Amino acid sequence: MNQLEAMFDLSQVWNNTGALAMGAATTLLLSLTAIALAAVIGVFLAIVRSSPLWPLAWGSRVYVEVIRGTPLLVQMYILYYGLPSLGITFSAFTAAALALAINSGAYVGEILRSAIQSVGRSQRESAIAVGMSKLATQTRIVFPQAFPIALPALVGEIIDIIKWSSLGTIVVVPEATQVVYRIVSQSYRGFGILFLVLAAFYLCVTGALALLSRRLERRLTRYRARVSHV
Amino acid sequence: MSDLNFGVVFASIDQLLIAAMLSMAIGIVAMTLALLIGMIGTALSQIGWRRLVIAFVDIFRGTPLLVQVLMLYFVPNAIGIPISPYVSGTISLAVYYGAYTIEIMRGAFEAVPAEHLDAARSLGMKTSRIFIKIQFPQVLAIIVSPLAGQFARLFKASSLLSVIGVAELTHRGQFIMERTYAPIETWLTVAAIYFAFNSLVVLGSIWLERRLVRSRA
Repeated sequence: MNQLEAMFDLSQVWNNTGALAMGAATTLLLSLTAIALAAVIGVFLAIVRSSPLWPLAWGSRVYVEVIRGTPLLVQMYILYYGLPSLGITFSAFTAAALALAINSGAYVGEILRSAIQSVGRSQRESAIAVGMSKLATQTRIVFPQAFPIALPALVGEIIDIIKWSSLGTIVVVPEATQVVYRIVSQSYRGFGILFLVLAAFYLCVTGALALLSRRLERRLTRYRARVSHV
Repeated sequence: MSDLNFGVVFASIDQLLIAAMLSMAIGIVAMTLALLIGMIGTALSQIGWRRLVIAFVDIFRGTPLLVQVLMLYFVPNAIGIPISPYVSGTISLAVYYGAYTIEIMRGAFEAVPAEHLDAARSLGMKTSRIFIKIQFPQVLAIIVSPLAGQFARLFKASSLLSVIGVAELTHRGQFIMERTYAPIETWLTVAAIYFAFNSLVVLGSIWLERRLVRSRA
C-alpha cells in the first residue's frame, strides 16, 4: 500500500511543474516545426508526383515507398547517429524534427495526391470550358474541393506527429515524455501519477485537434449542404 | 568525411536477421491479439457498451505508443508485479493497434447497408446465419486492406520495444553500432532489413486481398 501511495505522490507533480511545462512547450514546438516542414515536403511531393519530368515523378515515388517502409525510429537514428560520420551534425532537436517531417511528409504527400485525384475530372474540364486558366482551375476549383476531403486525414497526420514526437525522448530532446522519464528515473516516487499527467497532456492536445477537425470539416463542406437544399 | 565500410556490419548480418525474425514474431503475435481486441471491442459496442468502447479507443489512440510502452513496463514492475519486457511490449503493441482495429471493424459493420439486414431478416434468416452469410463477407472485403496496412505499421512500431530492452532488430542495431563504430552503415543496413520485411508484409497482404476478394466473387 505504501508503494502505491508513493507511486501516486502528487507532490512530485507540484515540485516539477516548471520542468513539466517546459517539456510540454518543447513537445509543441517540436511538433509545430515538424508539421510546417512536413507540409512543405508533402505539397512538393504531391506536385512533383504528377510531373512530366519522369526522374522527379519517379524519385518522389521511391521516397514515399522507402520512408513508409522503414520505422521512424530508425530514420531518426540515421539522422542523429549516422549522418555525423558523413560530416553532417544535427542537434537532437533538429534531428528529431527533421525525422518527423521527412517521415510525415511522405504520408502528407499521399493524402494530398489522392484528395486532388478525387476531385472529378468533369470539374476540371468544365472550368477550362468556361474559359478559366489552368492556374485558376487549380486554385479556385480543384483545391477548394480537395482540401475538405484531405482535412480529416491531414489532422490525423498532425495528431500522429504530436504523438510520435515522443520519440524525441530516445535521442534526448527535452520534450514532455523525456522530462517525465528523467524525473522518474531520478526517483521512483510519483511514478504513476507523472505518467498519468503525461498521458492526460497528450489526450487533451490530440482530443482538441480531433474536435477542431470535425468542426472545420463541417464548415468547409457547408457549400455542399447548401447546393443539395436547392 | 570517411569512406563507408559496410563490411563490419555485414559481418554481423546473421544477428540482425535473427533479430528481424524476432521483430516479425512479435509483430505477428501482437497483430493476432489486436485482431482479438478488435473483435471483442466491436462485439461489445454492438451490445450496448458503445460508450465504454469509444472511451477505450480514444484513450489508447490519443496517447503516444512510447508512453504506453513505458507505462506498461515500468508501472507493474514498480508495484511488484514482475513483467518481462517481451510480454509487456507485445501487449502494448496489441492494445494500441487493437484500438485502431476496433475503429476499422466498427466502421466496416456500419458500412453494411441496413437494407441487407432487413431483407435477410424478412426472409427468416437467423442472426447467426445473417452474420455468416451477409455481414461477415462484406465486412471482410472492407477490412482486409486497412488491416494489412496496420500490420505494416505495427511491425515498424515494434522498433519502440528496443527502449525497454527487447532484443529485436533496432535493439540489435544499437548493439552493433556501439561495437563497430559504424553508425551510418549500421542504420542503413537495419533500415534495409526493415524495408525488406515490410515489403514482404505488403506483398503478402496484396496476395491475401486478391484471394479473399476472388473467393467472394
